[in-house]
Amino acid sequence: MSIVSLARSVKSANAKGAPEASIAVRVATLFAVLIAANATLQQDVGTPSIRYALPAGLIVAFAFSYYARFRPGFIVKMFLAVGMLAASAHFVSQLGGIGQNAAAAQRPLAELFLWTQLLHSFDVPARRDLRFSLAASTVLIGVGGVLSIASDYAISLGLWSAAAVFALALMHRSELAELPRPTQVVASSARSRRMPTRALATSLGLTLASSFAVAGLIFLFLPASGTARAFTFPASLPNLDRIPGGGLVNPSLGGNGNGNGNANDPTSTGKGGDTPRASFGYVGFSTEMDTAARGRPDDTIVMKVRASKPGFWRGQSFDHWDGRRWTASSDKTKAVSGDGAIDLPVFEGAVQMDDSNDFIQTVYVEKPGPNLIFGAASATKLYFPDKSVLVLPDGTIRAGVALGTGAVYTVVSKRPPADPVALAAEPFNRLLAGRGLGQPARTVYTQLPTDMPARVAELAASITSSSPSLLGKVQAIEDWLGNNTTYSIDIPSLPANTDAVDHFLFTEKVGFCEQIASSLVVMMRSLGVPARLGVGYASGERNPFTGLYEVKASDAHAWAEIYFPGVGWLTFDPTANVPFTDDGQVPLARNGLTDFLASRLGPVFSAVGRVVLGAGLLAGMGFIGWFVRRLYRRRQALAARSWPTVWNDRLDHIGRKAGHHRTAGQTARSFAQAVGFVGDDWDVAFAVLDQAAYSDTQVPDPKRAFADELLRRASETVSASRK
Amino acid sequence: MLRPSRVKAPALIMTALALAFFGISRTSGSGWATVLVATLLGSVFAGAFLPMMRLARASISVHTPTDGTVSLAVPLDIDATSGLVAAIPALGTGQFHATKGTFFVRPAKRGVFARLAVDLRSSSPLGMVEWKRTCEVNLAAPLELGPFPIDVELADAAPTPDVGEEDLRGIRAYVPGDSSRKLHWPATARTGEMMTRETDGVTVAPVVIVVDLVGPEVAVETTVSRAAGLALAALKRGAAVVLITAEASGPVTGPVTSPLEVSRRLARAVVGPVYPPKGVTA
Repeated sequence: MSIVSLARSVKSANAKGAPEASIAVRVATLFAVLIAANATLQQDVGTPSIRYALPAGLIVAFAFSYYARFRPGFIVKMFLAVGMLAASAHFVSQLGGIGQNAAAAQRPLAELFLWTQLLHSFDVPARRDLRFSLAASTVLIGVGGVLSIASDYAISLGLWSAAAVFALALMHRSELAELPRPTQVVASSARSRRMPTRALATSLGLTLASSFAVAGLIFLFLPASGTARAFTFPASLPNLDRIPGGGLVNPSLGGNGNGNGNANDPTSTGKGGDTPRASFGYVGFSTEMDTAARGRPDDTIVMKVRASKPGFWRGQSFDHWDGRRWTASSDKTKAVSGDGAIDLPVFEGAVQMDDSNDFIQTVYVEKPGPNLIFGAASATKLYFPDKSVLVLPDGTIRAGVALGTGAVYTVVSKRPPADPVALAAEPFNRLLAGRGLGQPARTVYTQLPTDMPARVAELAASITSSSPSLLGKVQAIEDWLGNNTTYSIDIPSLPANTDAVDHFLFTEKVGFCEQIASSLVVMMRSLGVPARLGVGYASGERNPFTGLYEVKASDAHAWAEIYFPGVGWLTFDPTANVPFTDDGQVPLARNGLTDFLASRLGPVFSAVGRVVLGAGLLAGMGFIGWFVRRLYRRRQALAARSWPTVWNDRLDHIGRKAGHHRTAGQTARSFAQAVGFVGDDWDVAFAVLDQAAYSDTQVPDPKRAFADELLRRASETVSASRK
Repeated sequence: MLRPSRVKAPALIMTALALAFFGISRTSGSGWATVLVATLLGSVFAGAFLPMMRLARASISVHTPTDGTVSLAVPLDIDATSGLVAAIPALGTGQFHATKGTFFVRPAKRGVFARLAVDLRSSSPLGMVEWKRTCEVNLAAPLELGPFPIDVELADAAPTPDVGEEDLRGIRAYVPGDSSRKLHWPATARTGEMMTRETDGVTVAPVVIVVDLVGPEVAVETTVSRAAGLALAALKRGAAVVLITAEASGPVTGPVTSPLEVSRRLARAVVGPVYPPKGVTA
């Protein structure tokens, strides 16, 4: 293909289409664009002034496009080109300060999309242009969806879907209206006149319902969204409140702001100048964890995690057990830094793995909590706006700034390549032969209180005696705990001078995760296996729509981390259904849907939910009622006009299109002659018109049809001459 | 048969956007992107299959006049399910929006149509995928479309009606081809059968037009149009006209006395042997 023919093809493809006359099509498209733009703006895109100016600008732009649809549009295009250059320059200037993380370009890019949509809206004369606007609104609603982590985005998406389906349906009707059609629609009764309105409403309703139904079905079988192949790593901090000294700080525990807070006093009210412990504060995110403390956090969502699969979101670990409290034997931190991505150090016992095991998690902090960076174990890389973090030998990561609401960071961890079958086949003695950990670390991770009752170790030995492998021994203790103890968050206080594990295993046999996990760690240590207590959050409930794991304060959890030579630290917990290795399954979008719906049905029917839902339904029904009534009235008004009136109005309209305006007192015939509509056919048509208007005799339908057909042909001729 | 005939731009664009957002959902982890993919694909599927269902239930009826002329407007009374696009290829209508009402067509082809093949299409309501179905519509009475006559100037020597003073030589029974002006009405009334006057004046033979259709379609139609023009011109002069044509049932020889008869005879004319009478040249 030569350049000339290519240029011709491009020119032909870009030829201006016939102006779209339907206001309904424009209004429906405008609605879709407005909803999409608003949904994107709600995701913290653009400045506050833009958030108000843009919707108003879109309305003005669509109105301008309608009134200028017959104009050549060259000057408008010039202005739009200048506007696009300015918007692009603004985008490039915003890119300057974002560093190496591409995720930071998401919002500037979304803003550029918004400007593009606005500018394009000034030049949408034809249906094809409106279709382009609709497609652009699809991109916008998608961009908003990618940025959104909230469930209420469903409202925007639902409204946009409805508006887009309406716009498509109306565009199709407009397309049909361009075809030649029978010149006289026979409407013999009021009922048959009402049918088009009813048919339109029914058709649109059915289309929407079937679209949503099919979409729901497709959703059930789509693979879940995933971060396995992520190329953007969101990270942002709403503010940089530095924490002096680099220690652990957990404002949710109240107190004086240090890591301990009122951790061990769940009933603290903050008297004496201390702030009270928040309902979502967890005692494990402190410098020590007292298993005698009681009181669990509530169901407040503390963070949302975007990840391909569930996992334990680890905060820190404890390695020293005194029979009641867990503490960390070392608080020696190491500062690590990086521009955008921070490469985390590899500590003793960690196993080198290739990138295929990368497990990427983005954490969105919803409530102010500890300055711990939560993420799956074996974190290797961190995307964090503050370019430096503190790392402890056990892999715990602390931020040097407070992590308040709105903080976002991305952690890349390595999923252990452990194969449960292979691990189960590995003899216990060979594993203990000493690969991985050095003696000092082994000493730390096998430490036990000297006064620990011997029956704990004896129990561990008896439970695991028949298991030849390390994995088998761990699972045997897990099974025993599952069968012989009961999980409950309502347990009696721990008596003074009592070994918590011994009391749990032999006396109470009722406890929650701290007791169960501590028992597993202590029993494994009694067998000579390095183990520690990990604390953090269980994966939380997966929201199948946002794709995020919604982590509640009550998901705060403690588990056992057991060292497997050659593999690394693996997490075990009999109370949470989280696989300790990657199971290789591709999750589906519907995963967690039933649990999610079941848990949400309550809130939906709560008082506030009822009000919001009722108001939404009323607004929706009101809108539909208004729309249907408007259509009905319009049809009625049109149907009420007599045929000569309609014919005369059409003649006036065609005359105006041809540049002639009918003067007062000018008859239809003389006006038609002035426009140039003369000849035998027109004589016949005017005779028919006279008969219909002034005679008592009924004009036969074919005669009217003939006159109507004449007008239609005249209209086509005038339109063709205008082009 | 019901079959998809065209995938339209909105379906292609929405599918492309769905694929793009599927990629985005798999790399960004955005659940809403997955929901959007399902929404877009749901609309595409609904938009693809709703027209099929609409077309499967569609109905159309067509009422035509019994006569028409090629290139002149013929009214068709249409009654169809809404949202359909129809075309009647036999009448060369092109596509039109089939609703209830009268539709004027200018047929491009001559012939006799007892039933019409109507192409119904629909991509309603979303204009995503167009489906097509062809219906055979039986007409209440066949539509006979005659040719558009080509104007023919008859020479001065051409036959003229035998008018003027003539001596009555006798009366005989009427035979096809006799001019109606030569009917002897008293004798006809007396005998109850058509009787023709025989005079001694100048007798002019009827104009016999042999419509021998050969060659390509354009040539055939031109011939038919010329024959129509010739017949109408002769009739206008008052001459008796006999048309010799081939019809589907075989050769037909017979007089025509009005433009309507000319139109109908020529509407039925087809390519075939006409066997002109002895001594008559085409």
